[in-house]
Amino acid sequence: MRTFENDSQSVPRDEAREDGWVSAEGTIPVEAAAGYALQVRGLHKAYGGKVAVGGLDLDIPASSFFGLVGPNGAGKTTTLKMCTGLLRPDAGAVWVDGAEVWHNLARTKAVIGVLPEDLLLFERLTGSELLTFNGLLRGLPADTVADRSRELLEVFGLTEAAATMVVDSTHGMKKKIGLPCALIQGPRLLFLDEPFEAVDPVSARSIRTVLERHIESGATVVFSSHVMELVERLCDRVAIMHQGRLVAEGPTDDVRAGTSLEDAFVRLVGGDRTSGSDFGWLGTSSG
Amino acid sequence: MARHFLRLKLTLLRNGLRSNWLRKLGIGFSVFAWFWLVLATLGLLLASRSQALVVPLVFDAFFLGWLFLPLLGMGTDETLDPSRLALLPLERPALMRGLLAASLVGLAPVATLLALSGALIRLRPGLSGTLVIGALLAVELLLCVVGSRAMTTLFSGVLRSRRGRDVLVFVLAIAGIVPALAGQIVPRLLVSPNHRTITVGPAGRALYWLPSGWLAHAVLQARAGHLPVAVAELLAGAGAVAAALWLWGWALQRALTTSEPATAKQARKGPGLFSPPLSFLPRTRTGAVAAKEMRYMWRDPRRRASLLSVVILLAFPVAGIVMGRTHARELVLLAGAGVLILSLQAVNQFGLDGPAFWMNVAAGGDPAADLRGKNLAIAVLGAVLVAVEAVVLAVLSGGWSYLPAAVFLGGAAMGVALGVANQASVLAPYPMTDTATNLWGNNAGCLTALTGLLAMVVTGLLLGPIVAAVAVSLTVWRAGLVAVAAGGAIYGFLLWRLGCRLAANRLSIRQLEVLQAVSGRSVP
Repeated sequence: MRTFENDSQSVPRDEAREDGWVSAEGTIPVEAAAGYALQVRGLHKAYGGKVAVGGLDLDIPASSFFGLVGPNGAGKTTTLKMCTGLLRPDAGAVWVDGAEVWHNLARTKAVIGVLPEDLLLFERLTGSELLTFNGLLRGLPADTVADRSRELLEVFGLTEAAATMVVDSTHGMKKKIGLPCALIQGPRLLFLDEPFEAVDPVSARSIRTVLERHIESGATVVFSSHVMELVERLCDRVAIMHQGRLVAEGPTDDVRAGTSLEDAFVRLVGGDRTSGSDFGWLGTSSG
Repeated sequence: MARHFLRLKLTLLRNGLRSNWLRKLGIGFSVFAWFWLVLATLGLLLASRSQALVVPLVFDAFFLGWLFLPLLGMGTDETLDPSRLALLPLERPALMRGLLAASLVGLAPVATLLALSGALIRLRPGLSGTLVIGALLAVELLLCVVGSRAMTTLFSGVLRSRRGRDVLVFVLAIAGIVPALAGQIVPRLLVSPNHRTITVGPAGRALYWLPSGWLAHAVLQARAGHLPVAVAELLAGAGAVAAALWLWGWALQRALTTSEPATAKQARKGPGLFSPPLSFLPRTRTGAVAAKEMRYMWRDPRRRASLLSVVILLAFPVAGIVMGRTHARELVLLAGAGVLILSLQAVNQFGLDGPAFWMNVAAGGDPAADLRGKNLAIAVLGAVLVAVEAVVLAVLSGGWSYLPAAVFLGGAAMGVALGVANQASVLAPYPMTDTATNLWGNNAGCLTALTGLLAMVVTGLLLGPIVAAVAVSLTVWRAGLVAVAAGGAIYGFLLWRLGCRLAANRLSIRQLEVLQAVSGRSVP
């Protein structure tokens, strides 16, 4: 396991060059080391003066179920957006399946599936129409789209919801519709931002089963979540982000170090804030 | 409790002034609009010689405005929505007192009072008359505010449902046409056709039917010295306020204890992107985008309204022939006007997608296919519009010989306008607000208007040679009109190809910037 104290994990360009990540000419290598589904070096993004992601390094082996956790505003969503080509980083590089993302956008997008957290879909389409639309956007043949749509809608229990406009669906249902959209081209690397949020337990189990089968087939799943129990149960590797930086990364058992992942998380991101108050007024209904 | 609500309202007003420049611009615009409305109303009340018409008209207009306009701006004032207050441990009368106090603070109530005070300034009816008119103004303001509260509370459930909001967005989008029609029709209904003085027409008497009309009548009676009548009407107005209060209280109780209505899920028959009538579209990325666009044209209330406005505009030349104002057979050549407007409405094609455009970006592939798909949807609809309009005009005017030229000219107009619109869509995309709390179509202010105007001017300039050639042909060489129009269609096609290619090249480089621009604040 790697743990990072303060800001020591940021990789300056010179250091990165010694590390072999920047070529002698000073350019970012288009190809990266084999065996990794995702590699990130020195990823940086700031909005105005506020640093959202500050020099992130990450290695995610192929065929792993990788959990990215962190408190609200830690930079998880920004990181996932930069890794999927949806947000241009200020600095740093990302390699997906061995190819640098920002030099090979088309190739990258062909091998990844994305389920964003905010889930802004074309809401005036029905679930089934949205799935067909997404499959054809990705250049799949119409027959393949039809077959896979039918299978995915059935597995996720969406056969009935498929005829309803997305705008009329609940938040959980929208998540369930977004997931088949991310899966339809059978991506080698799947990025899921809070995939289990607002999803009922039965559907969550179906989703887990599909994702586990996806991993077995050699694919990699990277997902962010606030539910530590879920991450602990599902992920073989985990990274904890705080204030735009990694504070720990490695196999899940190593990161939690004999405690629960939640305890490790609370310890690493700043401890228990409630220790100074006894909240004696709670439950008294006093004005 | 009233004090807390007053403080809440003042905090909301202050926070509004602290927010981003777009919001500040909106507030500045509201202040400006209210300022002119107050001045115009004061001018009307003070200067008009037909007070019997103007006073009730102003009183009714403010009353009706207060009743209905807040429904359109439900999301702009957080204190308007009773569902936000459901969990507060407050008795209903205390809640109503607080809400009423909050309602009386702000730009709208102050401006209303200032505008209506013109009724007080005009003529000097003596102290008792002044007092009665002052009381009448206070009752009118209360009537406006309480009536408005009752309406927003009564419809709060419907307005939070998707179906209700769709209807409202549609109404709002076509509202632009209403003032033009009202300007033509209302004066004829209200005023008697008397050449020397303006008197109240038969329909004008209906102005006195509303409670605000009673108060207006009371103002006129007080001025004329008939104080007992004025006081009786004042009491009647106060009774109307009491009735509105009761209605508000009842609606508030209902709104606070009834769960939010779930929009009935409407299952689509034969679900499928390419279900009839779209089964002719190719099963490709271009076809998928076109099918999505065409489904949106019907399902998205804003686009449905745009389409309706085009159809209404097409009705004008038809109405001209039907009403006997013109019999010119050349009118058939105007059949392309609808498709021109339809294409000009496409200046922000990615803005209509909004933040959902990330799906296209994430899919990778050829972004030019997205543009072609969007253009294909407009072209299919435009072709239908041109064909129908040309045939209708030909049937009515007998100008069948102009039909082929009209179709070619429609194609030319569409090609040129779409070429320009594609460029505008990529160069100056802007977000269209479609959130759960704001109905106003888009709030990018000047940029929106400027983009549309610029695209219109450029399209006009590029269409200039075609218009000139057609005019020359109509004057000196009618036989060659079809050839000229066909040439125009080729010119339009080439300009579309050029516009599309340039826009696609730019889009492939700037796709992320376009996504960021159309997402507004959704992308961090």
